[in-house]
Amino acid sequence: MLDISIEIISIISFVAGVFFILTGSIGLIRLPDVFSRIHAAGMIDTAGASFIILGMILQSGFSLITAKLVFIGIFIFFTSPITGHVTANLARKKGVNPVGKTKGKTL
Amino acid sequence: MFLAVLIALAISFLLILVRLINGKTTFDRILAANSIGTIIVLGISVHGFYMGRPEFIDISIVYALINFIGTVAVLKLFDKGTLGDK
Amino acid sequence: MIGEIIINAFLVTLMLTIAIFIINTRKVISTILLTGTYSLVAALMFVSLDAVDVAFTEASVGAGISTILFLAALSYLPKEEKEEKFNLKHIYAICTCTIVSGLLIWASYDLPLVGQLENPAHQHLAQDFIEGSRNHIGIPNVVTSILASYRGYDTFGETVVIYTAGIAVLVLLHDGVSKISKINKEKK
Repeated sequence: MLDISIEIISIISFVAGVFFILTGSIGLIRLPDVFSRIHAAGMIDTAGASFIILGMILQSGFSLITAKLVFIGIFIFFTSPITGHVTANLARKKGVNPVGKTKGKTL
Repeated sequence: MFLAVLIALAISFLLILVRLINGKTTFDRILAANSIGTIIVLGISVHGFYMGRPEFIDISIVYALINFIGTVAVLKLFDKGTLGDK
Repeated sequence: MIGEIIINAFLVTLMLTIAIFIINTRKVISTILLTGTYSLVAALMFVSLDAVDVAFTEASVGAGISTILFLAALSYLPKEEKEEKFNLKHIYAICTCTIVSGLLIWASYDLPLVGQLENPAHQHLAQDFIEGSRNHIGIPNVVTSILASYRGYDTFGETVVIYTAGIAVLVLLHDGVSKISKINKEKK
């Protein structure tokens, strides 16, 4: 019973991760400018990667592999926002303007 | 199940590769390269589970670190113009 | 089995596509980013071929260090590229390359033929490694098992040497760079 429920939870988590990753990569193509694409990339890095790693943790049981997966998850989860922040900051500094309602206004 | 995840990762890899190849600004390309790094990190781990030998996911840890360092190095080059303290 | 073949075929096709795009791009920075991506796909390919040590090297050196090295070299390049005409320097270079490659090819005639059973490389330990590595260590790739287990101490020593050398280079370079920048500031 416990095995089956763990299996089901891990499948649900894989499905959620795949959903977020595909949504993020479609967003990376469809969204209009750098700042909104950072949002899509953050979706891949945090939500998608975390859900897939959670699914793998549930599959692997309790061993050294679990610790390694937790490390990967922590690294990705904490370094992705830093990358996004630095990219957005530098894009603003180099004069890339956002598209949309804020066009022409100073941020 | 793992094969399905791998196929989804491959599809999203191709989608992001489009953005990497014809990105409008350089920041788009950097962002796409970073996302491809994440996809590959996940791909190596899921591939290990699919083959039944998940002991080799240390490579994912190495790459998760190097990906961050590389991206920040590219951005620093763009900001300062150099990588050293010139 | 079929899944493995599909994965390998996909990775090879991807590497080919990325290589074609590397040739076609005109911007240096996107070439560098694409080269990093290429090394990543190569690392995944090595993992799927069970060559984990090579995959480690590819992921850390190919995708990490060489990208940063290319970037550091890029920061010293001028903004605009000048087209160079054919001159005397090229003739010297062509002559040196031809002479050296001729010497190397001439030297290679003294080597034993590739793949023969009587070659010295196949006489001693190789047979034991090939027959016993699956039972002794349990990894299908023989090269990985030799590097990581039969010759484990050797690899460990190499790692220590390279780590020490890296630290020494860092210490030397850091001191020199800071002194040079100080001198430059004083000049200004």
